[in-house]
This record gives sequence, structure tokens and C-alpha cells, in this order.
Amino acid sequence: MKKIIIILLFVLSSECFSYSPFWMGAGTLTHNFLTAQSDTSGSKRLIDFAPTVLLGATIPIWSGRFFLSPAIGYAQFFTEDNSTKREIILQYHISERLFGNVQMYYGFSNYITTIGGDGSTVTLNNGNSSSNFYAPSESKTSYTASFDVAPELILSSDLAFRAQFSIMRFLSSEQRRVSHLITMTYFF
Amino acid sequence: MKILIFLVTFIFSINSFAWTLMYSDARKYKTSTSVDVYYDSQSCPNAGLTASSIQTLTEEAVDTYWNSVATTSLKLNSKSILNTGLGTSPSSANALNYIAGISNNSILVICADNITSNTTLAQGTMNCVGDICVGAVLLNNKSGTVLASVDHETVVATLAHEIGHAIGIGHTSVKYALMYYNAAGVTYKSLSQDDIDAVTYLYPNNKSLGGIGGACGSIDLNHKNKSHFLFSLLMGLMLLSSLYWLTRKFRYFI
Repeated sequence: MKKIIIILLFVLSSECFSYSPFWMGAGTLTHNFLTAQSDTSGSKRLIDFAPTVLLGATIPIWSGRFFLSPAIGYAQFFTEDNSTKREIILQYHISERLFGNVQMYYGFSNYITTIGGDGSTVTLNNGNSSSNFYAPSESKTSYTASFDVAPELILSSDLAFRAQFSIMRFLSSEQRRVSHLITMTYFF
Repeated sequence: MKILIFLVTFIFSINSFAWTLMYSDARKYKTSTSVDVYYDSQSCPNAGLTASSIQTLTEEAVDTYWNSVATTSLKLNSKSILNTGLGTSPSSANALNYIAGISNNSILVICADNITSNTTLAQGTMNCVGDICVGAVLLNNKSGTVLASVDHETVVATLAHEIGHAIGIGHTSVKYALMYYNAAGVTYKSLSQDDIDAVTYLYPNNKSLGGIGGACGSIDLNHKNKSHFLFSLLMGLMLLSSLYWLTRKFRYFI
């Protein structure tokens, strides 16, 4: 038992690779990848421009190869005149130095989506005439969990390119959808 | 350069409106249970639809469109064919009253030959008394209805569009969105992000307290079972251990 404890302490305390404790990422977030309709011909969405900023930490947990990589992010969506949408992202990731300059992140995220509007009354076509419809007057928030996989290509000692794929509602066969978050990451 | 300035000014001067609601007070169904969809036993002979084919098409519509959104707690559930006795010319009010007497939190799909124009594919509406809502979808069975001449995808999209009204969503100015007023010239395959935002607003995924992770930011716990709780707890412990490590690592700075 003592040997096991000593080995565990040794393994957990070793830090073979150099790492930066904090990082910041900037990029764009796309929800409903290849599922949301994006034009009148029925094409599916490939990419959306929703500027996203992430702040995270890198914490060694196993032999300098595995790290805890929690992060918090903010995404701002461009919407039409009468609505607003923004998102906070909480990430609970473990990362692994696979080989060379490739790092892989796995884990879970919470997407906290807040949608609102200006409360305006909008007159739109309805059949052969027009009718009044209403923009929402208050904000509401939806909470969605995802399972994530994110390969990262380390470009230099302080810069990396990361493509994260999040499987939203991964436990629901009907509602399962994929989002991607493409970022450039700067390590402090 | 002048042309460019003109074009930019022109583009930014166009008013475009995203998704809207049917009612200013954002009326909606309770999502603690599913929203049930019932069907009238009468067929739509002028539209070439039987009661059972309407049920099949509606099931395809809810599965392809509204039941496939990750960010919403709404669940539409196809139920049974009813002998409503409302006749071939039901009004929206009659349909709403009937379904309210059968079951709350429900929508009735019924054929109607009294829709004013045969270029209208269908009509959808909802009504709420307090927090109890019902909805109705009237398929155009008028002689010469255009519903008889459109393809399968358009019929499915029409049912999904009217169910969208029956769950409280209004029209949009986004032309490729399901909730755009005119189906002509659009090939519908799935919901647009505009439609998804609308249904997410009305029926968001709820935050449930499930362990520390839930308290720190929520895990989706719509299906309350032990695996979700353990998952949430694991995430919370991971976050706490990260914070602990950071305070230890940088204790001289904090």
C-alpha cells in the first residue's frame, strides 16, 4: 500500500513537459452544425460567425501528459433587429499531450444561452394580409450540456489552433446536435 | 466608392425582423409533461389526405422539426385519432374549445373546408386560460386547395409551421426559416437557427440543481436519474479541484 501511495505521489507530482498555467482563446462558435437550414435551397449550416472569447487554465494531473483544463467563455451572436442572443460557456475538460505538437481535449461543457428581445410589435405578412406579431420583452435562459472533443495543434510556445466539437444533448438520440468552436489560443 | 457607400447604406437601412411570438405575453404550454397532438377522424378529400395519413405526416413534422432541438425542453407527442363531431367546417374557436374539453396542453389537427382562400395551405392558432393552453391546426380542405398540389416535404413543413403557431411562435422575416409566411420557392429540410431561437426562448432547458456542478453553472437534468446526478457531481468536483489547485499554486499572489 505504501508503495502504491509513493508511486502515486511521484506520478502526480512529476511535470515532464513545460506548460503555461493560463490561456486565452478567441474564435467563432457554430451551433447546429450540418443540421440547421441556412438558405432557401435547404442547405445545412457549416459555419456561423459568433465571436467567442475563452479564458482557461492548464493544471497538470498525471505524469505531465494529462491536464485539467477548465475554462469559461462568452459568445455574442449577431441577430436581427428585434432580438438578442448571447452565451456563457463553462468547460470542464481534461487535456492530453498526444504526440509532438498535438494536444487533445476531452470533457463536458455547459452552454448557458440567454435570448431576449426589444418587446416591439412587428407587422408581418400572414396569408393574404398582414398581422401583428411580438418580439419578446424579457430575456430567458436555456441550459444545455455537451460532451466535447477538441484537437489542438500547437503552433509555437504560446500559440495554438483548436477545433472543438461539442455534442449537445448527447444522451438524447432525438435532440443530439453538434456545435463547433474554432479558436486561436494564446498561452500566457 | 459612391456606389459602395450607397449599397452599404441601403443594406443597413433594410429592416429585418427575427422570430416573433404569437402573443405579447409569451403564452406557452407547460413543459413538465409533453404537449399532446390529437387528430380528427375526418379526412381531407380535397387535399388527398386521410386521418391516418395526417397523423403520419404530423409525426414526421414534429420529429423532423420541433422535437429535434437540443436547447429546448419542448416535447410534442403524437396521440390518437378522435371522432370530434365538429363537421367539415370547424372554426378555430370550435377546434380550440373541443380540444380544451378533451385534454389540456394539447393540439388538435383537423380538416376545414371553410378557410377563405384556397391558396392558404393551413392555419394554426393557440389559446391559453391562465397557464393552461390548447392549440389547433386547420388543414385547408376547400375545393381547389393548393394543399393537394404541393410535394410531400411542403406538406410536412406546412404542418410543422402551423404547429409552430400552435405552440406560440409567430412569423419571421427570415425567408428560409420554417416560420416565414410563404412556403413558395423554399425547400424545407430542417429548422433554421431563427426557428430554433424562437422555440428555445419559449421552452428553454431548465436548470436543475444536481450536485455541485448544478450549483456552479447547471447541468441539463431534464431526465432526472442517478447518472445525470453523478455526472453533475463529477463536473462540480472537477471544477472545485481546479480552483483548489489554482489557489495552492498561486497562494503568494492571491
